[in-house]
Amino acid sequence: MGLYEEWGFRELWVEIPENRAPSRPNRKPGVTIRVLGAHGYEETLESRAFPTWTAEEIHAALNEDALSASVAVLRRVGRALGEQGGTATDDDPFMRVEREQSRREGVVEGAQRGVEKARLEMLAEAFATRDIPTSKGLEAHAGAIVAVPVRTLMRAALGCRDEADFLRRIEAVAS
Amino acid sequence: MAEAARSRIAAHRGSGDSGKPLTKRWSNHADDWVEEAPSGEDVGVAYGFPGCRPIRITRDEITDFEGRFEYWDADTEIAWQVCEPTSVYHELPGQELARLTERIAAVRGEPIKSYGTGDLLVRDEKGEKRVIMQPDQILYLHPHKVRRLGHAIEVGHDDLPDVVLEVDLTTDVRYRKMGLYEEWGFRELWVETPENRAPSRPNRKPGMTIRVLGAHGYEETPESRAFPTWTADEIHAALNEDVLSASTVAVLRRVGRALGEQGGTGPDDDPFMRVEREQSRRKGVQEGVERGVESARFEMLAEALAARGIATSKRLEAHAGVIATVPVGTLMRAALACRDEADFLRQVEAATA
Repeated sequence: MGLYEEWGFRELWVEIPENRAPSRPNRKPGVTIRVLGAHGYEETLESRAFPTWTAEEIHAALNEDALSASVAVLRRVGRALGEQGGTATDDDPFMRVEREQSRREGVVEGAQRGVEKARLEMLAEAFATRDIPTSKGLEAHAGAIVAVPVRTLMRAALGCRDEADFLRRIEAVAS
Repeated sequence: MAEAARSRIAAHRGSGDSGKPLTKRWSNHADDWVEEAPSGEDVGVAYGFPGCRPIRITRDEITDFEGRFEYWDADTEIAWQVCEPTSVYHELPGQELARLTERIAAVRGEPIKSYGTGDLLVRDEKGEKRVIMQPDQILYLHPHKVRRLGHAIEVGHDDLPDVVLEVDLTTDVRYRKMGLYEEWGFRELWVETPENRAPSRPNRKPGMTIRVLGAHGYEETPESRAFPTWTADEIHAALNEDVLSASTVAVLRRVGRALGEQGGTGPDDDPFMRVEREQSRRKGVQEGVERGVESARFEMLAEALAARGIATSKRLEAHAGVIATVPVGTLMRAALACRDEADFLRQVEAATA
């Protein structure tokens, strides 16, 4: 440690793993972080290099069998570092591709929801304009409303006598 | 696999050659054996550990010895240690492999455990340490299925790793270590010669060699068996990149998905990826809803006008942006009350003014 200090290494982490060596059964596991200050190494509770990452969190992460609680910690530290350097997750080429893929999956899912939402809203307004009362039962038929071609849907909405007649018309097409 | 290793060890026990000089022990791959002119100063060549020097570590000392060595033998109490100081170039491939497989594991949705240079230990009949060998990296592809490891991987007792990496910067595993890996039943051995050559070995050809254990010992293959579709060339390229390239990203994702398909997992099974992907998926959903609403609204509107026999032109499309901002009620009332397209657009624009 004296040599690291003398040579000017800015931060030294010393880890004693939870899995102790058989010859050192009494060692207390944990991480000790030392950062180089004006008077040599000073023990600190959290890293200076990895902002907000505490010794306890580092030790826990190093000794986890499977990544669990550490996910939130790693993301927090990564974002803090990114903020310092003006970068973010999508600047990593691997994460960018993975995130882009999930974003695209989300767009497809969202577009379906958007179509359903807009069709139901427009239908409800078409019926309201034509003074045709509607029930909540219309939403229950959202599946059929989305499946039917727009032309059929709108012609049924503008040509029907009432909600039941409308549903009959679109279900005949959807089935 | 542990039992198979046990019987192989038993069959070879007592061969007693661990401390004796050898000329060229490995002869299974005569074609690809490119022998370097042995240096007269390289004492390790004669013992099967080129680029290494012997140091004495007693049986008592080996328990607490934390330094690096290639091979230690209890009979001679000699460890063979790489002559040239542990260089960054030698350490990097092992570290890099761990990082790369971490990415593969993330896409696969199941962890891959890398144990670095942990000891591979063979005990004698009395349970005493007989031989220790240190690799440059070892990988377990199904760590949750592996019996919990102790302070060393005990050959003949523990589950053996799926892949062992050896970095031949100044050493040459073909003389002895490869034979031992084969004898002990290690399923897949990767030997990497980095692009960054050692100053003392300027003529070494960089590259990755993959050997998988078959019925007749190790067989060289162009791609990994453990990591399906990952070729030796791709692994070598990835290990020697300064920055993760787009092509390596594609390769890692391909391999990760191939592994995931085998086990029925995917990136959303990885806790880190799940959170990151969920975050971007939510953004995508929001974007998709907006797009879906806008397009469906426009289509419904165009059909409402068409159903009333009102002809529409490209002017309607040109007003798509305005139409998207108008409340649905206003939009539909205008569509059902207008005389023509121009009247409809006037009513819509009036509503947004």
